[in-house]
Amino acid sequence: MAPLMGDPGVSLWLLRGVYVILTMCVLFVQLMPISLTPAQWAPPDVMLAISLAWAQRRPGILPIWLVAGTFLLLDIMFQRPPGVWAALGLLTIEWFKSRERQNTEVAFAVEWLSVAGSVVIMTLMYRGILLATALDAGPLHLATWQGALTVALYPLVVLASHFIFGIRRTAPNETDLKS
Amino acid sequence: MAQEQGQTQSYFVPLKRMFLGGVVLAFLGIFIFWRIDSPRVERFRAQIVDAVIPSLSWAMVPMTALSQLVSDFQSYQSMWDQNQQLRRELRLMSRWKEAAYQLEQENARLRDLNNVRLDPQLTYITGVVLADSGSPFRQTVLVNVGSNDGIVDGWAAMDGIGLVGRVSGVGRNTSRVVLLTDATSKIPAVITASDQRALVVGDNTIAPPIDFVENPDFVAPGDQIVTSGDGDVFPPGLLIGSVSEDADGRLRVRLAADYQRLEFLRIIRDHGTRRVRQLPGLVIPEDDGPETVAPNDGSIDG
Repeated sequence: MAPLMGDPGVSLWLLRGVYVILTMCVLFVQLMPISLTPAQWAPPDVMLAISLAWAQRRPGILPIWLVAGTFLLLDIMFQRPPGVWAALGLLTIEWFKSRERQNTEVAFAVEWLSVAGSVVIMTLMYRGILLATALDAGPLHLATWQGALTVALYPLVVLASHFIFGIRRTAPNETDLKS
Repeated sequence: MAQEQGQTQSYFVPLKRMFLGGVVLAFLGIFIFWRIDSPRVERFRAQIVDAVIPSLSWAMVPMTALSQLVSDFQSYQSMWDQNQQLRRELRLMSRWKEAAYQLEQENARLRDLNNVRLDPQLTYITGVVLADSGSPFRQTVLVNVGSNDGIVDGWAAMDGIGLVGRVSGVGRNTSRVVLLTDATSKIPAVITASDQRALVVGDNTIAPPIDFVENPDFVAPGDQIVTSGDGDVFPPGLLIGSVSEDADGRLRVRLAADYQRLEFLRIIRDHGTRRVRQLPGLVIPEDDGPETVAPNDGSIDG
């Protein structure tokens, strides 16, 4: 994707397009009625992993409106209580975006740990909010699977973003790539 | 755009914060609104799903078919075993078929004697399963028939044999069926052998537990369980499955519908005509015929 890096404005919009297409792919795959029996495990939240990885590398790709729209759409399509997971995801991603400005050089292990921590906190808060409003939060082992697989997927997402879409951490002097 | 923002970042930060706060508050507002007035938001959700899914289905249907083909291909490995098993089952079936023919003839004769008219209201609309819920926390499917086809919220969905779920959320061209395995599904049922009332409560497992049985001592594994029609949720007498007991001794339903392969669903038209308003008592037929005493529970007459 080297030619894309030439014009930062164009590349930003292209990558936003890629983000929307990836959202559609996730929707598509998860909604396919392959197994209609209750599963013993839960798939990872792929869009959360992608958003977290990109937010720390090229925060300009993910403006608030794009993340908000995507996550609300996923909430609506996946039959979740609308708004809760979207709000938590948006706040987490914005937090990572603001953190990106302060330190561009972070060891990957630290980054991975902070992602894992935020996924755990998001899951706990989500379940807390559902319980506080007297809603059924679903089996705990499914939530555990979902969180664990999301964290496990994260390094793969980072690698794929790097090699397929050329999304990597920008050096501090390349301010034009940030927004 | 990126460069502009780089220069004027200091002005944008507070604005961005406000925007973020506004969006988060709006999301929480949506959630609270959904919590208070769920049907309105769910109708909105059904409209969005209705707009998105049919546009995806052109690709989704072949992909699903392909994945099913793959899983079918895997089962070729055990084909010989399956063949033998099917032969055994076929022999058993032909015996049952003979019995069924005889019973059918007897039934027809008896019906003729009784001058029974079958309930014309229990017809169905067949739909194709388009999508599932997309999340392992909810057990629902989306079928390709909606309000345009006359589907109404609350109707029962069956596969060829047994009850599958309940329509909850109808769009113009799609409707959502909450399966019996979903954690929000609660179906009033009756165990036919002992006439015990019970509730089939979904809990995200393939065999939903049976709750609130009047007297569990009368219930044996293998008994048939059908909808009771209580609370006007469903027409009475739709087959749910058979009773089984799990390792903890808890009564569960072995569902009659084949949840592994739900491709087509029958949505049972239900116009609620069985509703009995007056107290149970003597029912005197309109035309000639013997007087019959209504059963104690007025809800059984479908």
